Amino acid sequence: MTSSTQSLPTTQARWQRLSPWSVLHFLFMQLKQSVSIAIYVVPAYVVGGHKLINSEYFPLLLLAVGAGWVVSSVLKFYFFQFTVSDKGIAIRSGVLDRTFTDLPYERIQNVKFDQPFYFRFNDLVIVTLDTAGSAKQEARFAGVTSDYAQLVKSTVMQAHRQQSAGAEADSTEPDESDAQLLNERSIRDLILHGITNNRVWIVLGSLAPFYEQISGFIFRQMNVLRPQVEAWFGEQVVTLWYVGVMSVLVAIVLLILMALFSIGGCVLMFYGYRLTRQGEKYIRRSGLLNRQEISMKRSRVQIARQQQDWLDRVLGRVNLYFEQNVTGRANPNELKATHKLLVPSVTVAESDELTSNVFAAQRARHMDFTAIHIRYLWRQLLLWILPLNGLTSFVCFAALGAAGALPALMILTITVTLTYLHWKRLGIASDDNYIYVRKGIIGIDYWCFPLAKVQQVIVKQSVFMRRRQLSTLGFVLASGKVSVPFVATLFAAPLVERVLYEVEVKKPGWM
Amino acid sequence: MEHLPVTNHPLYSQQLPCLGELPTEPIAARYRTLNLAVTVGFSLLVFLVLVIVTYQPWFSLPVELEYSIGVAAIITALLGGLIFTYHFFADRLIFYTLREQDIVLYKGLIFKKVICQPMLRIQHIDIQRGPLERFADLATLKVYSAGGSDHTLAIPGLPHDIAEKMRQFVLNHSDLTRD
Repeated sequence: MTSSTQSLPTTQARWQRLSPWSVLHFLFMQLKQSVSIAIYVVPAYVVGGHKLINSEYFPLLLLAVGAGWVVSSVLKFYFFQFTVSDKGIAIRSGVLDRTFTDLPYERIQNVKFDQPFYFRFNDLVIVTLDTAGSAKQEARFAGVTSDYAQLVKSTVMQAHRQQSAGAEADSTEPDESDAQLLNERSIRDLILHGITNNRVWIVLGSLAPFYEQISGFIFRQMNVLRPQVEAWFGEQVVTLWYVGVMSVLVAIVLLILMALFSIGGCVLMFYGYRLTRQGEKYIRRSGLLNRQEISMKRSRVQIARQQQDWLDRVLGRVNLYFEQNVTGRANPNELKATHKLLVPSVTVAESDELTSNVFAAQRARHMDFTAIHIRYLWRQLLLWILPLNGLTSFVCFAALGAAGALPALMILTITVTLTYLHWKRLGIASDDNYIYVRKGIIGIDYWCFPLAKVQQVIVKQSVFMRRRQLSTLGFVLASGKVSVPFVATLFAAPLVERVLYEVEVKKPGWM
Repeated sequence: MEHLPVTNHPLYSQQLPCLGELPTEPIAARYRTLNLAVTVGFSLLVFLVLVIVTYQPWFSLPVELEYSIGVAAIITALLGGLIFTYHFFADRLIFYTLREQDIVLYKGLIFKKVICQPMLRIQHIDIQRGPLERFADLATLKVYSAGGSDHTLAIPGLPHDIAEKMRQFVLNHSDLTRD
């Protein structure tokens, strides 16, 4: 409240309210909230709630909820007040929980205008004041005229200019000044990252040992309830249907929870993601609850991996990893690992640009890759895919009889296609300074590392491969091994020589 | 940069490092003898225990246990035979080459593996000798790079004095004092 007691040269010194139309905004926000709750409420209602609540009262219930929203929106509008002074902007809001936000101008990083569809007809905007404090402190006032919004913006900008002119010496972050911003991730990017990343499946996978216990528990509950359910519905068919629906609903709710968990974790982890370059150092800052900062010297980056899963490919995104040495580190947790610098879900162009920033003149995405020999495909098929398919077909036929042909054929088609794609993607290329490896099944991964970073070279050949002049190449880097199977020896031998020449004769450092 | 291919050529012709025909040295022949002897000895020991358990005079075994002793004997014979065969053929195929700038190890029965470790990238080096290796005067030379413990280059079955000399050579190598 300090701002109101100071001298107030600006005309908007009094506490004022938003336009009454802002009620629409509050209403819409509540609606959005309710939808996310409805995901859980609706299945619950379908399963058991309709027994507790008489359907006659249902419209009344909806009406009551709607009226509640309107009342609370009006109250929110009434209690929302703000003031613009020469020091900053202050906001009082909240009906029961009163919140007082005081934003000095120097803390406001950005002023943003949004115009949602419900404000379009009367030309009102939502003003969002971005602050870059460690605590999330963002202020928004919905429903002001766009002229007034411009006035707020120019007031903020003017105050900024005055401050920077008045106190040049007072630079609080001297190190930040020469830092060059390379990349930032918005919440939308992070949600995409949360969806595309396999974290959900990792969690589901780790739950697998408990599936039996969980399903056992559910079925025991079912058995307990069975007499009652039969009494209600009378018929066994209905019971079975009930059980089926229940199980599916439980599974869906679990999946939704997992997905939300994954997205939430991702947003928490990477919130406010900023990748900056400061001289020869890359610094990544992110995190909502704990700000995490990882810095990596440019010369220590051993490999750049542009990873793209199938879902990433659909959305046109790439996860970019820069990795340094892992020696002496045993931290399998990818999120906390400090030897990896992840730029989550960037676009293809961005990832190419960032990779070039670390490895100058790299051309990972523009090389002609040498395909690996088709014998690799035959070997995978004969050694793994076909025997496994034989086994599954046997099981299918044993269980389903002639109808087993359908799933067996499906599994065969899918596995063979995926193996084919995997083979098709594999490739290796090199230019004067780098080795490029292409991998993937549906999405395409591009790995790129300098010849000079190689620690050890491994060449593997089976008796059959030797006859066909093929070898499996392995390059051990400080960040791990990169191996490419079934490369023609004609390609591999000169490459190995070149790598050894680069390392042993030029003697570059790897750190 | 343009003069590089010129200085390259002599290196290229010499340096068909991993795939070309390099002069190689075999490891000590007694490494194989030792492995074979150990395999036979261990299998016989297991057999002996099984025989003692079966024919000892103090108590009689239940029928199921007699059956499982038979299974254990078969498994021991199979495993022992397999390991014996492997060492019989594979140990003769371990070679190494110590060059000015790197150490190369050749090994593998079905999968021929050639591992090349440049001196420049060696982090440290040590010699390991178990009791049996000490008995046969053998040693294993282990070369560690920054690639992690999974990619340690280990040359087994070296005569102890040669292993020591190799270790000293690597330690004296000028590249080890770099970065």
